[in-house]
Amino acid sequence: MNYFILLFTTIIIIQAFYTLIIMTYAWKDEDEVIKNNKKRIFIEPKLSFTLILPARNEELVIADTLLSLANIDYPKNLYEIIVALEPDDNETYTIAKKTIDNKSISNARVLITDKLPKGKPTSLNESLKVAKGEVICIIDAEDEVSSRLLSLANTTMVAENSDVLQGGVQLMNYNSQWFSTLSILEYFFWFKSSLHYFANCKIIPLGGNTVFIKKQLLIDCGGWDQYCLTEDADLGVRLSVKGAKISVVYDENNTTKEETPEDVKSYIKQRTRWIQGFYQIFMKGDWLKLKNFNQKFQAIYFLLWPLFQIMITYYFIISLLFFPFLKLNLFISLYSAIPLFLLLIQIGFLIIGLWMFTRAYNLKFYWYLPLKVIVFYFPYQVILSIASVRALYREIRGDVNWEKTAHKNIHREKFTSYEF
Amino acid sequence: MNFRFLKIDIVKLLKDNWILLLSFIIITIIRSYGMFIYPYYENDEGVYISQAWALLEKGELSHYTYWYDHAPGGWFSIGLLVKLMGGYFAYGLNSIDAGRVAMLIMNLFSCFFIYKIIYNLTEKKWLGIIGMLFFTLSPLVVYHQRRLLLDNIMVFWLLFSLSIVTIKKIKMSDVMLSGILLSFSFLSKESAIFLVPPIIFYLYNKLIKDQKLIGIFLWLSLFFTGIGLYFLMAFNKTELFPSNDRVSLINTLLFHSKRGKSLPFWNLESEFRTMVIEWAIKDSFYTYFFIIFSIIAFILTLIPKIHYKYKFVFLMLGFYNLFLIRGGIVFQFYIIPVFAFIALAFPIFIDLIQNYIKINKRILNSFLIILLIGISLTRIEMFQNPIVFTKNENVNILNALNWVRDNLSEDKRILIDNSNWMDYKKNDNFKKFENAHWFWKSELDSTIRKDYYNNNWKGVDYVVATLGYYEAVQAGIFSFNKEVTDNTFIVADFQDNPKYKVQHDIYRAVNGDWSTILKVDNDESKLNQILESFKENNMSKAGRVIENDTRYTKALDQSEFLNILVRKKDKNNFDLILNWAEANMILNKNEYIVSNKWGEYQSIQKILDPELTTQSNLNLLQALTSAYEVWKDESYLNKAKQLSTNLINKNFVSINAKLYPKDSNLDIFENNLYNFSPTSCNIFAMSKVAKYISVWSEIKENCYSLLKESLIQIGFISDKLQLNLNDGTWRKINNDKNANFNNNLHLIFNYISNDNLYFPSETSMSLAKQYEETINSRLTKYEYFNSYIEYDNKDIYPHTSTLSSIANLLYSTKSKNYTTFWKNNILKKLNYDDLDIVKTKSTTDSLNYLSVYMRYKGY
Repeated sequence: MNYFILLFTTIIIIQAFYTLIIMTYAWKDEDEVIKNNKKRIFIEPKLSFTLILPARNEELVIADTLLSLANIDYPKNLYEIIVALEPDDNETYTIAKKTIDNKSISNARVLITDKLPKGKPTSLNESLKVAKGEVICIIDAEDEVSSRLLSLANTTMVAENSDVLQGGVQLMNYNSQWFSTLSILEYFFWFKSSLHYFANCKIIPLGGNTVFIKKQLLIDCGGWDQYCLTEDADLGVRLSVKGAKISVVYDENNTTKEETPEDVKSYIKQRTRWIQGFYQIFMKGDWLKLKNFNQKFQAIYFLLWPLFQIMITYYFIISLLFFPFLKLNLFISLYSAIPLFLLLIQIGFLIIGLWMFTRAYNLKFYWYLPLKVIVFYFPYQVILSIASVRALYREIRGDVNWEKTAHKNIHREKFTSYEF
Repeated sequence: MNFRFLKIDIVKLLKDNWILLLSFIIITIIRSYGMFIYPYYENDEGVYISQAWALLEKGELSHYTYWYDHAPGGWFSIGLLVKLMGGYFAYGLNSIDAGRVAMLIMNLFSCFFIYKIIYNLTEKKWLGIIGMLFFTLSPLVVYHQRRLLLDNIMVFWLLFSLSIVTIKKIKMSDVMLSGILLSFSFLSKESAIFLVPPIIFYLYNKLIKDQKLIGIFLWLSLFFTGIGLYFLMAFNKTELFPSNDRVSLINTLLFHSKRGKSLPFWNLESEFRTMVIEWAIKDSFYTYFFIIFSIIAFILTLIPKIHYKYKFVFLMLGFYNLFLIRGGIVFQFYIIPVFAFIALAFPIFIDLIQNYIKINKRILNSFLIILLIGISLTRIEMFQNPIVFTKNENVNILNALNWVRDNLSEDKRILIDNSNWMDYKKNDNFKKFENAHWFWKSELDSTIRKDYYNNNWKGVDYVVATLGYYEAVQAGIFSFNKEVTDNTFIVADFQDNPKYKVQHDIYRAVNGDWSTILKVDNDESKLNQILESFKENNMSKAGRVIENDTRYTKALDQSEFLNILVRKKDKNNFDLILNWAEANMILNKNEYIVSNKWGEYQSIQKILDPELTTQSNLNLLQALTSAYEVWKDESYLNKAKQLSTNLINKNFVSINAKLYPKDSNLDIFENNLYNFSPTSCNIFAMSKVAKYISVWSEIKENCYSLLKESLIQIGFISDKLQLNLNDGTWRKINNDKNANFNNNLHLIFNYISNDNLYFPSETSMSLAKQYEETINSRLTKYEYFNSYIEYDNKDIYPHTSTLSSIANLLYSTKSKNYTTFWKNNILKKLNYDDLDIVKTKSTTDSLNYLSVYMRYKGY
């Protein structure tokens, strides 16, 4: 028993420190902070872009998303918008078409594809075939993009000679549901800090949107995996294997804003899909082709992280419930308490992150938000671990259908009625 | 030479850093040469090496019950190092030597950290080297840094932490590591907490805007994780909160916070000022430099223009000084962190002058060179009078250790200083004294005191006295150890310092370079021998106590022996003696009261003196009452009741409705004070006798009034002073001054002493103290007390009973002269080892001596 606790505690301590290092990577030293915070001077538009907007049953949000894309401050002749829809989605089609026509969005078009299997990767691959831009960018149906998004991408990709750019994505409804505060913090640290760390390690699980990829590289890679539930992360691994130069930029003024799912059920479904997708990528084994050990280690870490999460969450619960009653050696009981302190540090750090988030986006930092983080930290970990278990169960059963997340447009301060 | 695999060009490295290397060699020599012989092994060093052993070998926090004296990080570090370096007995002759080797390694690392920190802050190697030398070149520094002390370990971790946090291009991982290292520092010695504010100040200024909050949060949280674990440990063991029946972390913290004199530091009596004097004895220049420089540094921190990196170093010195002058206890070794802060602050100060004072660089540099040469000159004394390298302060301690190993069996119960704990108990190459224990624990750990010493000083066989031991005994809070030591005599004395001779009689020593083996006089066989000898010589088989010369039997002796037997719980002989007295000394068979003397006259054995002396019958009453209490035999109680009634009727007189004891049953109006026995009165008053005869308390008060009056009248007790019971006036029996003292004087001392011992009251103590004062004045005047003092300073043969009674009196007042008196007047003069007393002295004297000797033996 003692050896088991020692081993498990050691793993958790290493993991906790590793997490802290990843979470704080954006502030790791003066150079990194200056690099991330430097004032951006946009260069002349050089690159042309195709913004692909795959959607399904997104009639509530599609109009606003289209409008925000149309308002991007970039020469209209240097970017196009493709709304990729499925034939049976009349409502979304109607709203999208009306928006394009009524608002005269000349560089936008609707692409309807009936290719199988249905799903986002198929839509993306079909759009890729007709895309005209040098760089492909994926935008989700509910995304509120910055008007300077393309200028930022153009500047960064040219300046850093990047093949791939992951832009910042940020959930905004930080105070709507009990879990949303922790959810937005996860995004905040992931895009602001962790992805920089992974990019530095030359292995990155790309996000589902605000991702810019050179078209030719994408074609060379064979596009998106239509059978993978997280085709974006899978593409990131494959691009890393190919040695693509990947940049990450998180600029609070130019992030793509999104929303958290409306309820726990939807949230678990969304997470289940992501986690299952990661399991699929792990099983596919493309990561084994990565060149060095560090890249492989990082890949294993983020692909199997959900499994660690199950273990850690339940270890904590079990240790809190049972350790006081076990007659443990004093040192082992103290040693096994270290993760608890590291957990407290992590919670404290999340609160600091929350304060930084509200400051960066000019939002109100309510006095009770820290309490919300403290109180819901564990329940939040429990729903994540439920999603992990569920994903494992689905993967074992071979259940790979896409559980779509509904979007209600609550991340937008103002939104357009779709009744034109 | 180019070690390519290390990517280091050794030749270039040596060429670039030869001064640094040379400095390190010099520093290593200064620190290590003579480190096993100087300074002397100190109790605390032994505590930490023993605790390191307990932690690493037994998995326990201490070799005794852990009481949160300090967090265990210090001895954990030292234990690991000692293990890595070959074990506890791998160096020198004492386990502490292994600790000192570990300390040397830590100190050398500390030196390097000093260099590194200064280099990080100034980018000047030569300033780093000055810092290192400042960290070494002082007898005061060497004295303390060689010792295995938690403060040295705390400084090591602290400097390690600072060497990370001062890195020019600091990373968040450095900040985190620094916080963790400082928590190790705190877990080694809690005073590290005083360095937190300066480090936060530094981080706040060092980190850029977006890093500040995160960096400070991470640093603090990781630092407090270490502290939190310490508190959690206490909580886990249910020893966090104060409790009456077990150790508690909070209790200990409160204890530490209240230690020492809470005087302001400017007060001459304050702990800080006292220590400044102590430090100055070892290195006056360094001590006063520290004080003056601290003031300068404090002023510099107030100047806004000065760069934060300078202020940071000055603040560390300042905050630690706050701890020193806080008004609590300050030990000598509390100066150890100061060495580090001065070593950092002085080179930083030079850098500050170079950067801020805008005068001709040549003039400035000349000034600095003169300053450094001046300081260096003060250091030369260290080599002129090189006691730190040559003086052997440990040879006597080791000789004492060897004496014990050579002369005592392993089962002996010994009180030891913790500096040799490992050597007495855990060295496989020598005898292991399982019953040897650290004197702190014999005093403060009731389990140790009970299990090993039966809660009685007689349970101890030997004491290995050291400076630490005598200091503790002298401090007055170690009453058990004091009692043990009071009952010892020297069997082996190891000291060779002619300047500071140990004063064993008052338990005082100046330095710790000695050790003495004290044998506890707990041998019961001697008492038994004396008793047996007395029975053989002075007691008939029928139960009669016989005078040596006259062969008579006095009621006083018979009753006194009854009291001795009841104290010894010897019921057979008690009954024998009592039965004989009842059969032969009671004059009137209808009354239970004994006559004064029995013997043979003209070949007829009979009562020779029918006087029913008060004191003999009081003695008998006391013996009967005690016998009932000891054996719960109702017959004794019945006899006591009867005797009590008869005694009051016959031997007490009522004056103004107050009862006073008379000299005898003879109807004379005078009173010898020796009839007075408040102890007996008290014993009777508290015993079942009081149920029947309730006047004893009242009698006691009446008697005390008489005694007080006697003191007022003549200033001292004289048993030839008489009170006219009719008119209440005092008179001397005759005008011969010598006649005012006789053999019975001692009885009064005895009575008062017994009362003061068993029923202490303000009256008994004040009387006893007044007698003690007179006795002390005579003791000062003459080496031995002479009851016939009026015989003009002649050292005549002392009166045994009187001496015994005086010893009893001094014992009852807890006089510091008690031991001296006992040793000088009783043991030496009476030569009790030869059992001469019971053979050559009168029976009364022998009984008195036995009575007091029994008390001395704990009866």
